[in-house]
Amino acid sequence: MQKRPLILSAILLVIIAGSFGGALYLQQRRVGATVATAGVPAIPDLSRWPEALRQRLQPATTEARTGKNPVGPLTELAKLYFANGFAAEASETLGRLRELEPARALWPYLLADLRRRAGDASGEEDLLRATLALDASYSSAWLRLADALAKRNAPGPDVREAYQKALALHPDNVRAQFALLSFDARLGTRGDLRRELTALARAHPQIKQLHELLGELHRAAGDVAEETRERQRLNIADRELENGDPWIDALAPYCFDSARLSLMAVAAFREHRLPEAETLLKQAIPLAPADATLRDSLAHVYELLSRPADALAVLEQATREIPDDPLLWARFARLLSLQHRTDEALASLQAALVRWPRDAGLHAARGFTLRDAGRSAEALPEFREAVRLEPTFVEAHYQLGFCLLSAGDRDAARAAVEKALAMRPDYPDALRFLASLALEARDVAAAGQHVERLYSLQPEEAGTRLLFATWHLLKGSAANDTGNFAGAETIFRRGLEALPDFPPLLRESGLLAIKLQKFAEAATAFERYVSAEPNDAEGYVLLGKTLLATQRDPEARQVFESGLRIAEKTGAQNHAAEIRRMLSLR
Amino acid sequence: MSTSRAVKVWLGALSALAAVALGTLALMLLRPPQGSAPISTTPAPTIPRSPPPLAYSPRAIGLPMVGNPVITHLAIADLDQDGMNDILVCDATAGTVNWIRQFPRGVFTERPIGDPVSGPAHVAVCDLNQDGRLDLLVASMGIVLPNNDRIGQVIVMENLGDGRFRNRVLAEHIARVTDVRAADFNGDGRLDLVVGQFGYSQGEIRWMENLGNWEFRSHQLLDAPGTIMTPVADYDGDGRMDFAALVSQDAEAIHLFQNSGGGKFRASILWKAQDESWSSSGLEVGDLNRDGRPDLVASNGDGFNTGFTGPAPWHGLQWLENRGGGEFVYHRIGDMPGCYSPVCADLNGDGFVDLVTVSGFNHENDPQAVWLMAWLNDGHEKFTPVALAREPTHLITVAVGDLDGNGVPVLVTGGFHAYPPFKQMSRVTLWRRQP
Repeated sequence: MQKRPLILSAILLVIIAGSFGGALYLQQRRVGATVATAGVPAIPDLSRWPEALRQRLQPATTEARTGKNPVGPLTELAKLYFANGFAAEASETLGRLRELEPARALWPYLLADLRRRAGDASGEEDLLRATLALDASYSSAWLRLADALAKRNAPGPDVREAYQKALALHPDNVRAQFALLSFDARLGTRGDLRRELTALARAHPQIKQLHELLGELHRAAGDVAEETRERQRLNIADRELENGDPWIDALAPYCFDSARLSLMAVAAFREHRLPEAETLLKQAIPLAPADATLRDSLAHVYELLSRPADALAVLEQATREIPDDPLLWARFARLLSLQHRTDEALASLQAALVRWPRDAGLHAARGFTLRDAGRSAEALPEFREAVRLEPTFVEAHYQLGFCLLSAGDRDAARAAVEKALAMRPDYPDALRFLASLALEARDVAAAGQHVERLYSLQPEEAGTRLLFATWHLLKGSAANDTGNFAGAETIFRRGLEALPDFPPLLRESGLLAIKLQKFAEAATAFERYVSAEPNDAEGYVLLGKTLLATQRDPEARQVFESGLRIAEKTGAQNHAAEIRRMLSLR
Repeated sequence: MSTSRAVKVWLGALSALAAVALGTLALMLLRPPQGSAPISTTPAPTIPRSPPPLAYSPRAIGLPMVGNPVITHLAIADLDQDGMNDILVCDATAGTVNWIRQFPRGVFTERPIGDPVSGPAHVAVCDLNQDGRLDLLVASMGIVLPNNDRIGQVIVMENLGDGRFRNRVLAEHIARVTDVRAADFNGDGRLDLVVGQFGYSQGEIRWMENLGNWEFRSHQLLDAPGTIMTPVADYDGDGRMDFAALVSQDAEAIHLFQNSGGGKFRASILWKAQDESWSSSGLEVGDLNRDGRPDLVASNGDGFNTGFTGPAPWHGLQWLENRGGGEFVYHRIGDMPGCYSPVCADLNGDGFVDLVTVSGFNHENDPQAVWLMAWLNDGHEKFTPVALAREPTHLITVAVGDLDGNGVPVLVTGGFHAYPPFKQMSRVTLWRRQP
């Protein structure tokens, strides 16, 4: 009898413990689930997105809501939402991740980027400070913090310190160096920064922003000549300041938006990060297989990477898969032509032109192909048609002029290229073309405007220097012929500044110096002439005579002896006879 | 007995406790967990969707869509003066200015007029040579997408009658032209022109003095790139025509050029954005508060910059209230991603000036993104946004006019598909108000 209560008690106690325990367990699970759910947004409308995005979001969302460890799926969601521009959803997941992983700097950093895009400068600033409190070694965060502070017109020690921190982490980082110099220049507190900036620009001559700022500093200092030179360097520079952000760039593989990937590729391209551009474009193409510009861009990247076979393969596949875009056919033919596969290029263009007879790009591509194959006469009507169809097609106008010149019609050639130049006043090829035409016709005045302009644009280019020097030669000779010796001297000198070893100019300069009884200068000019043209016996004659005129007989004898050897070697009988006569006199 | 009773009490208490525990467990099992709402695929709309106070039905008109349409501008005018409004279309893909002629009522037939025009950006109607026929002023950019070549032109399509037009190039080899408008600026009785030249890194604003016999003399007024629109009105009420200018690129400012007479202008900046990423996109003149003074409505939502990754949250609409005496007061109207082409019209017939805008660059992957919006004026210049269309996408121009001859404004939009994705495309769409 006494055992029964005991047994009943035990059973009831087990029931009580089990029930409360079970209820507690369920409650804890629910609390956990509720906490996780708080950071798991509902999947947005994805009807215009690739199915692959849904396939990534759906399981991550479910797991984040129900799984024991929400960090993994929340991380996946945050990266997917962030990389695809779902700002609200990204913000929600990142906020939750920040609670779950308070020591991870990536989360506030990505949130800061979202705030920046939303135009919330102070929110961005707070989050960047939070990022740096967790990881002060990420230089991009320092740069962004400094940019954010500077942007909201808060110039002060904070900004400078942030730039300096970024620079301290990566002393060779050009972006950080430029940002600091730019900031100091804006404030004007560190005096003249041109020397520092010049050193940076010389070390990285391809980067546009460096020349731009330097030009502005020269202008502010009233140095017009240096400003002009810096603008010239800016014209030649071909890339933007590198602005990569490893933490954000690493999220590109999570992107399913071809337009976004394409823009990232453009940025990488402009900053000359070509392998990254390639990766991004290859990722974008399957997402937008009908987008011809992506294929064209990838081919262009391959061309710049000196991988012509890959470029051709991309365009070949593109013309197969997107046959309705004339641009691709034109580009494909152009590449074939550059690889000397003229017949294939012409065949593909022929077919394309049947479909799109009014496409100026296709006519121009056919013109280029024929011109490259040396068939300018056949190229001529193609370029003519291209400019008829598209009057603002600057390159086609220029090429038309090129073909017209080959056909012997100089006036029409000049008119065509002048048209191109009217539309693009800084078009170097057109300036060079017109300058050469004018110089050939000995029209010094007409050549001058083009030569001067070209030289201001491309002073470092060898062909430009040659044209510039030739123009000065003709102009100086004309002055010389009219008795304007002082003018001729100045002109020759200016020409030699551009091309110091240009033999015709050295010769004329030396002869003028003799005329002006400036024998020392003449001797210098002829010495340089001889060293530039060592096989021209006339140079030795001129130099020797000049040396004799200045009583430098032993040197003159040596020069004559050298000249005699050259004259005999090259068969210059007149010069040999003259040198022998000079030697016999001494 | 007392022991037995104590045991009973004990067992009873335990039983009660067990019942409570079981009940708690059952409750936990049966109660749905909090916060586990089913996954929704419909995000909360940002625009009130019902009941719509205004709704329109779309209808494609004009030429069929071939390739990717790039319609840069539309205008409504009775070009042949037959009593029915027509539509003028700047088609940058075809390089033409087209006339969608309405004849008979409700039948629209499109054809190109004049000679081709490279990159037509804006068309305006006026009788420039005062022969009684309406001519067309065309701003030619040469190439619509960013380019610094001097490929702009100012073109007049002279109306020769019988539907024939002759192109007269009044200026060429100039920075890309985005706007041309006519007004008699120097009071000589002839219509002069104001020309906005966006260019790219170089651009300008000029006025072209009409010397008669199709001769014009240019006078530069601003040497800076980025001019988008130059609406003409007598802003200062002195009886002389002035013009405003929206200058974007690095400036992001609204200028006023007050006509001082004798061909002289006094320039001032009415308003300037603090941020160079403001993305100015359109400027329209209209008397929003019915005080008799022309106000200005400006949109910002440009996405032509190649770094565009999505509309910025500051994209939207604002107006500058003309208080007279050169005082203009800024009022924000509302947000709209990629906002373009503000147009003033009384859409709902309540006597107040409402606004219409389109979106050129928006969240193209979001089906809820609004591409055509009305802003209804409550009479106190408080504007309520009304989403009119969530497709087609990528619209940078809208024109409003009475095409049906019943006094009810009809909208016409143009599709601008210069950038991918090439989905939900349109060319020219006519939007009639639903009853």
